[in-house]
Formats: sequence, C-alpha cells, structure tokens
Amino acid sequence: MTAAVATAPPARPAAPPKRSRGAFGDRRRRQSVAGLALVAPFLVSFLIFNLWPIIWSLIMAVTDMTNRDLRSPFAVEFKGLANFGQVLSDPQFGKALGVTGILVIGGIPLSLIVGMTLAVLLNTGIQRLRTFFRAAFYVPVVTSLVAIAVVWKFLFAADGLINTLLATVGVDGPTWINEPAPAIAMLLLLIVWRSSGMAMILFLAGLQAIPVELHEAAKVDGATAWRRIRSITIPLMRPTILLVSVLMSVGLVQVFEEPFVLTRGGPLKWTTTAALHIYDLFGFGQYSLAAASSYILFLVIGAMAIIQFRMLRPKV
Amino acid sequence: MTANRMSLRLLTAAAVVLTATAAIGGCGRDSTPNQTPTQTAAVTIDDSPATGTIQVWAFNSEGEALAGLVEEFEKANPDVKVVVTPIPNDELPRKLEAALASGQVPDLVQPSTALPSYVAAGGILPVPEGLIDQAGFFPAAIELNTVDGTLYSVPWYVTAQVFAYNADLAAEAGVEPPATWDDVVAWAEALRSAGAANPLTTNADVENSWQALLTFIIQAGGTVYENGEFKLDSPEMLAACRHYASLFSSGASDASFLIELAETIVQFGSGEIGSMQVPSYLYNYLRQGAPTPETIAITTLPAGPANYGSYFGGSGLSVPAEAPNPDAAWKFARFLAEPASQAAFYEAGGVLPAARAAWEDPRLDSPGAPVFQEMLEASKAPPNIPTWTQIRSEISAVAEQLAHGVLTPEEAVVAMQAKAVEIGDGRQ
Repeated sequence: MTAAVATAPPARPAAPPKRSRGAFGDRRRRQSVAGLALVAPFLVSFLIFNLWPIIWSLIMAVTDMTNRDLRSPFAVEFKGLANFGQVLSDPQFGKALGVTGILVIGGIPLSLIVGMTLAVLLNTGIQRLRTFFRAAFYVPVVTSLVAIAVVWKFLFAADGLINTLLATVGVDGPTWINEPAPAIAMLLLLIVWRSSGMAMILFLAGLQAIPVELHEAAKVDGATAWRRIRSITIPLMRPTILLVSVLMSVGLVQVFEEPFVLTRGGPLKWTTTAALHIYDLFGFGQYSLAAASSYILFLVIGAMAIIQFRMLRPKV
Repeated sequence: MTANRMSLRLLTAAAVVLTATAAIGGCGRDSTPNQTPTQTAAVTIDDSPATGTIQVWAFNSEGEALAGLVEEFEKANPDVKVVVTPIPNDELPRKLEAALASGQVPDLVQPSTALPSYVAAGGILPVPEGLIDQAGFFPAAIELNTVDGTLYSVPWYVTAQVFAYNADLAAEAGVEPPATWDDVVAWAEALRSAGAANPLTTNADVENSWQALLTFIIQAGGTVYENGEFKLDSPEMLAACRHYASLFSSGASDASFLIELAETIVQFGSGEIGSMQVPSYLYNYLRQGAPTPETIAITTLPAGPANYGSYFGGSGLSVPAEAPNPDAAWKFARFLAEPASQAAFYEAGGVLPAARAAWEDPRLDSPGAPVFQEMLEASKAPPNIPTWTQIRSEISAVAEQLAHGVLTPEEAVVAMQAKAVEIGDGRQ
C-alpha cells in the first residue's frame, strides 16, 4: 500500500492494468477503515477500561505508590521488583496463600464430586420433579451471598441449628466462626454448596451430549452402572471436567466474598484468603504492595490453569 | 498478518511504550514532601453570608441527621444551597480517595480516620486562622483533627469510650462497677453468679480488638507513637497486654464470644452480657434494646496504673484543596461547630458535641452526659499518621492471638513493634 494509491482519484475509467491490484488495495483499505470505525467504540472503551488499568497496576507494582501519592501519581520512586520480594517474604501473604490453597485443594474436588453426583442423578436417577430439583440445586449460585451469609451465621452460631443437631447425637459443637479449623470447614462447606450448582449445570449439559448408544451397547455387554460411569461417562466428560475445574480454580484462587461476609478473615487470619489480604492492603493505601501481590496471585492462577490443561488433556 | 492486526499491535505497543516512558520519566519524589499547594493559613473567612452551592459528603447517619441544620443555615444565608450526600461508612474513604485523585471533589467532607493520608497527599486545606476558637473544644478533639501541628479539620462530633453494664444484674449481685483493673475479675465473677453468661465482654476479634488494647495502653500511661517513633514495646504496652491477656485467662472474658452489634444490643438487655466497653453512640441503642432504659448504666472505665482514659473518636469537617466553593464550605463548617448547632446535632444524630460550651445546653441533659464528659476530658486522640488504620489492624491481629493464648504478652509487644516499624508511619 503506497501513498500514491491513496491519493489516486477514486474511479478513473482508463486505468492501466496494474491498477487492478491498486483498486483491490483501495477497497481493502476502505474496508479496513470502515472496520476500524466499527470497532472503534469497543477499541476506545477497551483501551480506557481494560488496557489502561492493567498498565496502571503494573506501574503501581514496580513503584512505591501509596495513598499519599493520590494527587501526583507520577511523583513516585521506581522500585523494580523490590515490592515482589517484600510481598513474598511477608509471612501474612504466605499464610493467605496457604489458606487459599486449602480452599482450592479442598473446594475443587468436592464441588466436582458433588456437582457430578447431582448431575448424574438428575440425568438418569430422578424421574419426577426433575425441573424442581434442577432449579433447587442451582438456587445457591444465583442467591445473594450477603443474604446467605446471614443465614449461614445463624446456622453455625454457638447455639445455632448445626450445634443443636450435633448435641442430639452427643457431640459438643465448636464455636464455628471463631475457631480456626471449624471456620475453614464452614467456609469450605459454603464454597462447595455455592459452586456445585454451577458444576452440576455444566455436567448436565456434558452428560446429555454423550450418545445413548454407548450406554446401551455397554449394557448389552453386561457392564454394571458403576463400570459405565467409569469407562464411558467420565472419559467422555473430560473436556467438561476440565472446563469446570479451570473455571472453579480461577474463581477459588480469588475467593473473596465468602470470607469477607462470613468471617472477615478471622479467627487468627485463618480465613484470610489472598484476595482478602490484597483488598485490605488496598484499603490501607499500600497500592504498590497490593498491586505486586495481585500479580503474584495472577501468576499462580496462570500456572494452575496450565497444569490443569496438561493433566486433563483429552486422551480419547 | 493483515494490516489491521499490524496497526493494532503497533498501537498497543506504542501505548505501552508511551505510558512507560511517561511513568518513568515522571518518576521520582520531590525532595519536599507533598504539601498543600497553596498556603491558605492567611486566608480569612469573613462574616458575610455564604453564597453558591456547597456539596457535602458525610457518613450515612450523620448526613441524614444534618437536614435540620442545613435548613437553618440556608435560612440565614439565602443565596446558599447545601447538598448533603450521605455515603455508607465503608465507602466514604474509597470514594474520597477517588475524588482526590481525580480532582472532582465536593466542598466539605468528613475525612475521619483517613485525614492524615489525605493531608499527606496534599488533598486537604488547613483550617483558616481564626475560623474557630480552638480553646472552645476538648483538647483531644483539636488533637484528633491536627496533623503535624496544623489543624486540618473543624472539630464536629466526638466519641467517648465508656463502661456500660447491666444495672439490674449489678444490683442483684450487690456489686459496684470496677474502679480499677484489679477489681475486674471479682466483678465478672459476681455478675456471672447473678446470671450473666458473658459478665465482661472484651473485643477479641481480628478486626476490632485494637479498641480494647489501645484503651489499656492509654490507661497504663503509654502511647502508641511519639516523636516519630513507635512505642509498642514499651513497659506500659507490656502492662496493657498482660491485663488484656489476663481478662481471658482468668475467665472474666471469653475469647470465642463474637460481638455482633445488633445481637449485642439484645444480649445486653437480656442480661446475657453483663458489662462491656462501648462507644458513646451505642448508649441510646442499648437503652432502647433493654426492658427498661434504666437497666443500662454507664460509668468511667476501670482505671489502669495511670488513669481511666481511653482513646478519642469522632470526626471533623474538612475542605478539599480543589473544592469549588471553599469560602461557603468554611462558613458552613463554622456554623456546624457552634455550640448551639452541636447541641442540635446531638439531638438529631445522637453524637456528642466537640465544643465544650454545647454541654451546657439543656438538650444535652441526659443521664449519660456527665460520664461522657468525664471520659472525653481523660481521653487521648489516636496517632495521626497515614498508616494508623493498618497499624491498628496489625494490633488487632496480635491482640486476637493474645486473647486466644497463642502469644504471650512478651511475644506480643515484640511482634507489634516489629510490624509497626516495618509498615512505618507513612509520612516520609
């Protein structure tokens, strides 16, 4: 594409043969201008609302910006990777990553198992009221977490329903919200309860894509139900399981709302997840440390996604 | 590669490079710290009527309670329009930070605990000389609104910490509220025998336990921060930590008991909670939640080795540096600081006046008022440093471990001091 083409009069009747390519280029150029004009609204909003914050957070992460620099954000010192070193050597961030790890390692398999079980039951087991159950299991996903947290707190209060039930079988229930292990267990339960509905819906879609013929053929060959799940359902569900576990791990590594509304990070910071820790840092005006922590969390999420893609690569 | 994708890549690369250059090129702190751009101490605010629009950002309940005073001010200044925006307590600091960063600021704000960091950012104007008579306010109220020796906020309302107890239970047990730290355990045992499951509720959660510990530090005669240095490993601090830990180890307080405001009010009325350190604004709620208001009594806090004081809370009113209408905003702030306005605001909002003369007003004639006044005179403002909210959250984290017996008082003071030094005072 040359300037001569662009400045040439648009439609000259007696064009030399080589003009055909020029005309083609001209049309392409016009098309690309039109195309750019059409995507411009998106492009502008993308640059302002997506790219700019990312660049900005990077700048935060490598400088010593805090809330005292609000009005002159460029008058900060460049610190390079020192913030990352400081974050990584902070035992509180380590603990927050550990807590997040517990929730991820506990939460994903549990949600997958619960979601898969519900999906299989809904797909084959439950014949009556299927729609009702499907909706009922999905309700936690769409309910406001703040409302759930209030109910949850009542359930797990020192003299709440859970402890009353435990007392009937002779178990002295703990103060769930204020003791480390019970608090994590309660949080994990809430996460599984909330996320297995999403897993269930996706698994249900995956299950319905499996040809019935395979199951029928296996049945004719005398395979048991368990054998059919193991050898047909699960291998064919691999892509769905991958999708759900990647979606869930990305969500769980950033888990914030549940501990924020339920325990506010306590007791003894045993429910302070990495995202909650970062939120607090931003709240204290430690912008650069918070941004550096966020990037570390981002790397963790990326690494986890790669590992999952490798582990669950289709083998059929 | 098509021309489109090529130009998009170029565009992106250009944007990144440009921004990075701009950022690095503009990098570097000024040798003089961010100070308020214009030295406005010389500005005087005259007595002529205020004009124009005054945008006010206040906390939810305070903002709503302002309505009557706004009407009064508008009547006295016919050419002024006051627009109050009540903002939820957790959101106001974030909203203000965004406003200060963008320069799109209101005229009058409640900076509250974030005042030092706004001042450090150069976003707040100093209070003009002669706008208010500083001697008319509680000394700690002036201290609360002063950063590095300059008054940045007009004292508006204050919060005192008091010792609230269930008077019915105390009468039944035949005991007087504890006068000193040494009386606390016996008091708790007496109330427990009278039926209080939690005779002395002490904050031990990860967020708010600093409230108890900071009180004890002051009562031990210590301080958190002085002359540019943290004093969290002082002997006074150790005494405070020992007392705090002893409340839980002696059984007087229960570290696993959670304080939930709405429930606390009910539990106090029912006698499940026997006594507790509470902020003054809770007093009326507690009385409303009790079978009869007389069930709830208040008195000064049990005294430590030095005094019975505590920390001083509350808020002032500040004018952001880029406020469109600072003159009218100062006039409104001056009006709100007048004793009569403060007494009216006590009636409307239930928060205590910062102006001493307002306490003479008959509207403040309540059974709690003398106790509040006594506590206000004895209390100290928390340190006015930008990182205070972070430091106090670290104090809470350590206090929680102290309450649960994870740390000894000796370990706790070392941990707190180390963490505070690491965070720094944020002033540079």
